[in-house]
Amino acid sequence: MLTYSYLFADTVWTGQTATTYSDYNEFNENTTINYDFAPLTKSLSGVYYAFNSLDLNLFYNQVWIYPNYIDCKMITRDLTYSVMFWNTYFFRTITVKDITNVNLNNVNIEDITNKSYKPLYYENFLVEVKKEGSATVDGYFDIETDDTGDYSHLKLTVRGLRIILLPLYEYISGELSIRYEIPVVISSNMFNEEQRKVLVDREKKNFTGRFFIDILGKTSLMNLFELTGGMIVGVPYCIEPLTPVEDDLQYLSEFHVNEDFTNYREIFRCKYIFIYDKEQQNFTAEEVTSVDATNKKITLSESISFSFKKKSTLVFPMILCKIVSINPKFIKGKYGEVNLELQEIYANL
Amino acid sequence: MITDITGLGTESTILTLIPNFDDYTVEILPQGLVLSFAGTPTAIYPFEDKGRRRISCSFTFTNRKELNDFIDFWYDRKGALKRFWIPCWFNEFKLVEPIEKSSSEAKIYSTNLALRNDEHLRIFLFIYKGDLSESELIVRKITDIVVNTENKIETLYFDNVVNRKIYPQEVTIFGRVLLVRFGETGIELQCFFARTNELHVKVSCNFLELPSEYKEIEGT
Repeated sequence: MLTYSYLFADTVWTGQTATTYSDYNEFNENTTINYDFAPLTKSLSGVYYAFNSLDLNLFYNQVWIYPNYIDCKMITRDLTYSVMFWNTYFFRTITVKDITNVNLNNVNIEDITNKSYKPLYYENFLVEVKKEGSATVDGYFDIETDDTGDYSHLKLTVRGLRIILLPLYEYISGELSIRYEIPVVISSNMFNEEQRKVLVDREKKNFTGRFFIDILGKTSLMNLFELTGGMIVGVPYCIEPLTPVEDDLQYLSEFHVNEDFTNYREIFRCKYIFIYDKEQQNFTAEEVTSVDATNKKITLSESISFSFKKKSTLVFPMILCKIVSINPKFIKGKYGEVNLELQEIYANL
Repeated sequence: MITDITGLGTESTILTLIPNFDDYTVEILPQGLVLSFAGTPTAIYPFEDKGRRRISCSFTFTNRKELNDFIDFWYDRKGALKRFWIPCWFNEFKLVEPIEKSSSEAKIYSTNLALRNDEHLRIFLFIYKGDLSESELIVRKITDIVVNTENKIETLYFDNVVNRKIYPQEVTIFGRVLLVRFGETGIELQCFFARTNELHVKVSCNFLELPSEYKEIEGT
């Protein structure tokens, strides 16, 4: 498919670099390779040049859904995606007959049923992935059209992992334990000497702690009880707090911290950071692109949407965990204590 | 801490962190196999004539570098996979007389150490001077033990001489250095929070003695 980009280089259609998706997460062993060709501009002159290209049908005389694969990665808030429906037939109008949701829990698609797309016409429709729902989002929309050829059924795949963010920062002092383990098989040989072999050459952490629930709020806590089955939670690694230099992190995709990274460990291993504004009771998880120890700078894959004020914000490496047990000790009004046991999981998001 | 360490052999890694002494337990795990067959007396087949020690202890860290160094050390050992040495902070021996400078022998009151003498026996002398940075840790391999049964004294012969005269009264702990691995249950960090960015972490772990050399299976 990369060749397609080259083929269209002499037209006004601009190709986007093919994207490879692989090793999705630990819950799904399948590896998906997906290449997409993205038209960014179009004009009538494009049609003219395309007629002169080597194989017209490589691009035209099709019905395109772009992107046809949405990788939400980590779902911690409602997400909305704009997807292009594009009819590249020259003389045929395409009508959407039906849309079937296959195995997508709490993922909504804009109703484009009975909508007709004229030749060489494109229009975007919306896909909304709600933060509430099953832990794993892994399914597709089957978009049925009136095309009599290969494009009678178009597939729009959506994948992701729903994560509940828990601002477990205010543990009760002395009540938080983090257990580091590397699974090792130990047996004995005929001379009763130990034989050992590591199962996974990577540490796993277990968190056991007691924390105040006033930071979560009662509603969040009750939601947590309802949603714990199979849900993955993202928690801050509270041993490595960082404080931002910038007054507000909103709209920033990179920011500086006051701390010297030389004595930090987890921040260089984590894929996401947990940003927590205690005063505003606001928190978010953001994907880390790089950590620059020299300049004490953290670069994110996207800019931060919400306001995080310098004076009350802490930044932590984020650990993904499954809940082993959760036990409220005392709830009165909004305040109380909760015993919680979490186990780190590996998820390549 | 000033260290003077020799004779550790092919595995030269030694963890010299000082544990919390009020939280330090040494267990002796007896080794042996007991078999019973119907109609016959119980038979005991010793397959290992040495007991095996398990040390449960904790360390306290108040700065992130030392904590991370310890976690990195544990990670480098792949948890329970790889072996290393630790001093068993348990006062086992007592000097009869000073060890002279440039001497490689020490006379101790008998503890039947000779019965355990094998190629793996190492000892340490810890001399605490009020400040850890000035304190000394001397580690030597024992090459031979001569027993004087009449006076109940054992003379330990080291692989290397000591570089200064050591008086019995200045030795804080005189014990064995053990070849160990971490317990398979990992390490546990108990976190205390005082103020933001103030760290107080108690790390609990256990070490299991390896009575004989062996090769761990590397990799996954």
